[in-house]
Amino acid sequence: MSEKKLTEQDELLEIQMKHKKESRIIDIVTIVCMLVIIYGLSLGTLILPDKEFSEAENRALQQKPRLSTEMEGSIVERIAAGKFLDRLIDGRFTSEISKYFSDQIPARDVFVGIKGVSEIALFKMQNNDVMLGKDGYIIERNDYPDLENLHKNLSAITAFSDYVKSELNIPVKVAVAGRGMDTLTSYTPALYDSTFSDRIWDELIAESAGVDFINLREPLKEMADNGEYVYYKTDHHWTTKGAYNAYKIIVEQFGITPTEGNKFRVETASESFLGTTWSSAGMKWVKPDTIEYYRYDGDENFVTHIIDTDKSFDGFYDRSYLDVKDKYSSFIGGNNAHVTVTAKNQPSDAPRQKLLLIKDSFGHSLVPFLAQHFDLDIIDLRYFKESMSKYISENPDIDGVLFLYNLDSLTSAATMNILNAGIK
Amino acid sequence: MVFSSLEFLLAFLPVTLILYFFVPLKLRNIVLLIVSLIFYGWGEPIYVFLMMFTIAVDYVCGYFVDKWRGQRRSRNMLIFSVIINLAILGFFKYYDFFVTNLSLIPGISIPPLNLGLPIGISFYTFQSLSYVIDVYRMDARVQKNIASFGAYVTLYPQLIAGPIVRYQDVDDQLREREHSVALFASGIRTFTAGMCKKILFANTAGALWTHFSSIPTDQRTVLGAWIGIICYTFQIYFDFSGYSDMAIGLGKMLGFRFLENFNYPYISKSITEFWRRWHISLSTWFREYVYIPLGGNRVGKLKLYRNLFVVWFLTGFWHGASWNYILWGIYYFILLVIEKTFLLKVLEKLPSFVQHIYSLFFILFGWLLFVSEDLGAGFVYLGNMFGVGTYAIADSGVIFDIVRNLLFFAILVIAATPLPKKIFYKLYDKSNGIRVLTSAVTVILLVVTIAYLVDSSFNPFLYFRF
Repeated sequence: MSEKKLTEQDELLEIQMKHKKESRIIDIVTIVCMLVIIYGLSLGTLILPDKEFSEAENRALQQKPRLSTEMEGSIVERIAAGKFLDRLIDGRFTSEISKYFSDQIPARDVFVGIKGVSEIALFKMQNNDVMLGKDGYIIERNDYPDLENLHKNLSAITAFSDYVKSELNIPVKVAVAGRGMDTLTSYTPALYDSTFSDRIWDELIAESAGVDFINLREPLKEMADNGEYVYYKTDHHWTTKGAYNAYKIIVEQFGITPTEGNKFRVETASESFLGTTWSSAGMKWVKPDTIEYYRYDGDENFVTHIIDTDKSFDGFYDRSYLDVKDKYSSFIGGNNAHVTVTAKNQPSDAPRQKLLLIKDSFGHSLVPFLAQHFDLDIIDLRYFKESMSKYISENPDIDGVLFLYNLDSLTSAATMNILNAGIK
Repeated sequence: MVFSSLEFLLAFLPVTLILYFFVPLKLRNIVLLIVSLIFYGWGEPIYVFLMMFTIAVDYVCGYFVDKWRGQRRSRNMLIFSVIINLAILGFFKYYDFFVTNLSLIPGISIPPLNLGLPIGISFYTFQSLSYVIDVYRMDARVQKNIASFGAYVTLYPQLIAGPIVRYQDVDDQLREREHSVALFASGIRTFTAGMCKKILFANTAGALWTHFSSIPTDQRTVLGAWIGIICYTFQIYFDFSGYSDMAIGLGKMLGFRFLENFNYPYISKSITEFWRRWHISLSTWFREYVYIPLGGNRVGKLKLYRNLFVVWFLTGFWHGASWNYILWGIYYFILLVIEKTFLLKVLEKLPSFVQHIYSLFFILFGWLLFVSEDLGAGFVYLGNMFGVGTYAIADSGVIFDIVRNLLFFAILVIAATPLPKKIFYKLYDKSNGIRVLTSAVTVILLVVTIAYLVDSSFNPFLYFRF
């Protein structure tokens, strides 16, 4: 029984022995290559200075983990204070080191690219849940969003809308834009149809019966079907053209005639925008997007005031973002809890209407259009965690409320209940 | 720590290789012991002490089993060792299972301890036990050097996911082993093959299984349910055999030769054959240390079935402290008994594709049972496979996923057969060009697997319950 049978790999070893001379050289080369790879990457990770932030992924990177909370002072004191090797013992060190190697490995982008290429070369048509679409579009796929959470959020919005309309007599419109996969159905890979989009939109429409619902998916999808550039190819947001068309539909619901498209002067702000979808797709060959600003006379006479940081600038665009990866944030300075956009030199005896815009980042590129008609009070519920019902009663100058979400953030938002906090 | 991680490849392996090859031969087992303990203690350092306790107990027991050979005391030491090992395993792995089930009886309420399961405990306990038993049966010599014995129990290549190396198989290698360029290079090849199986095949198939099995119950399709469990069938094989290959490869780099653990199980023509090809080291262990001591098949019919039942019940239970694993073991007991009594004879007369389909069919359902720790959800899934509770036969999502993975599935199917190996060996023997190419491909695949590790959102370790 204990007689050693030949293992599978021994068979190969035997063949190798038959060609001992040539095998030896090949073996040495194999060993050297392997050692160079693992020692090279290992030393490269440890010796090269740590990068703090990934532009491509827009997140902070793991730095060299520490074994102890306290690195200075005598060991005895540190042990007594529980600050010596504590991070090793409670497992923080080991879990961080794993992140550290994947974040700081030399040529990380090249590795991410290798995986993307391999997946597409295997005809998988998607990588990291991003589908390689037609005409240079890459589209995030999510067949099974959290419907239960969507129901919860919609009922919170309905309750809020009921309260504001009936108790405070202020109109509330709820506009929902499609995700890339909802709007760009003509650009998804051949066999992937709109089944999963249609399913959730049917639910959404049925559940929105109690509010003034504005369906932005349908019209923009039609435009996309006709080849119009209404969504970015590498990002989940709509383009400025998409935002303009959304604006037309929205302000009509408020009884306002929208500005005609030919009144704007289209300025190309950047031709090298690689968005969030691109970052997770690993498909490095996909071409960048163009960001446009729809300029109009007098659009410098507005002030965007970011209340979080008490920073203000004229107009709607923070062009410093055009030099970094996150170029979409040049619209009103990106994600902030609370922002206002007001007209300069407005005579106090002729105040403008004030619109409360409760939005996700889709709202940012809509602001330049809305600002023509309203002063804007802009809230992002992900960061501004206060009751909106209370906020409106405390700010009686608000004349209307616009909810603007894309389906993805509407479905995943976790804090929608805050809308109604403190009422009833 | 697991092999299929960057911290293993880029931190642990480089450091241990230097330590191992730069110390004198005599100290290598000590180095192995130390680095293996670090490997084991990574993330959960406290259980290192438990393992050291096991080592100490079995070292001492082995010593006295040998010293008192021929006396009653020798046998008592063996029994003592078995009891201690099984008690540790039983406490850490099965205590909560027993008390939660006991608490179902009205009037009994024992709170579970919720201790984390020491990783790999089922593997190393069996290894350590095999030493004392082998010494007692004179299948192996006593190991007087505790570092060498410790190195055997903790040997990091096979510590957490096998193969379960019996002491008698590595006895000589622990005393003396050859290190050569050819063996080291061969180790790199085997290790890389294992990495590919785990990272490129198993993880990708596993992500699909996760996708299909987590579809909300009202949106499932028949086709999706079938593809899902087929993906899991691929995942568990490539994951497990990938780990074994990585272990065997690392072993070779360190001068050890382990026996193969998987021998293309999915080409089996019967369940009996499947179990000769699947997780060979575990089946061997149960055969050598449970089945044969119980009398094996040299007993009456009734006792034979009892012996088989015991072995398969334990095999199931070994995989995890949960009812589905027990049922999974009993499921195979029933199939094997049926085959033994008449089915094998019938099968042999049928065309071989029928035998293959028969085997794969039951293996597939076995895996559904295996993966369903929540038996209720498992039955819902089983229903889905036959159109119960599904909303459609297929939808565009599942068709898209099948089509876009066709090439991948084809690769998996081929990789699960010995065909590529056969062709490869033939070519390797014939042409020097192929030999050069092999090295190039090895290096490229190593880089590709690292790329998948860098950009990995899905890299599970399946053996936490073992």
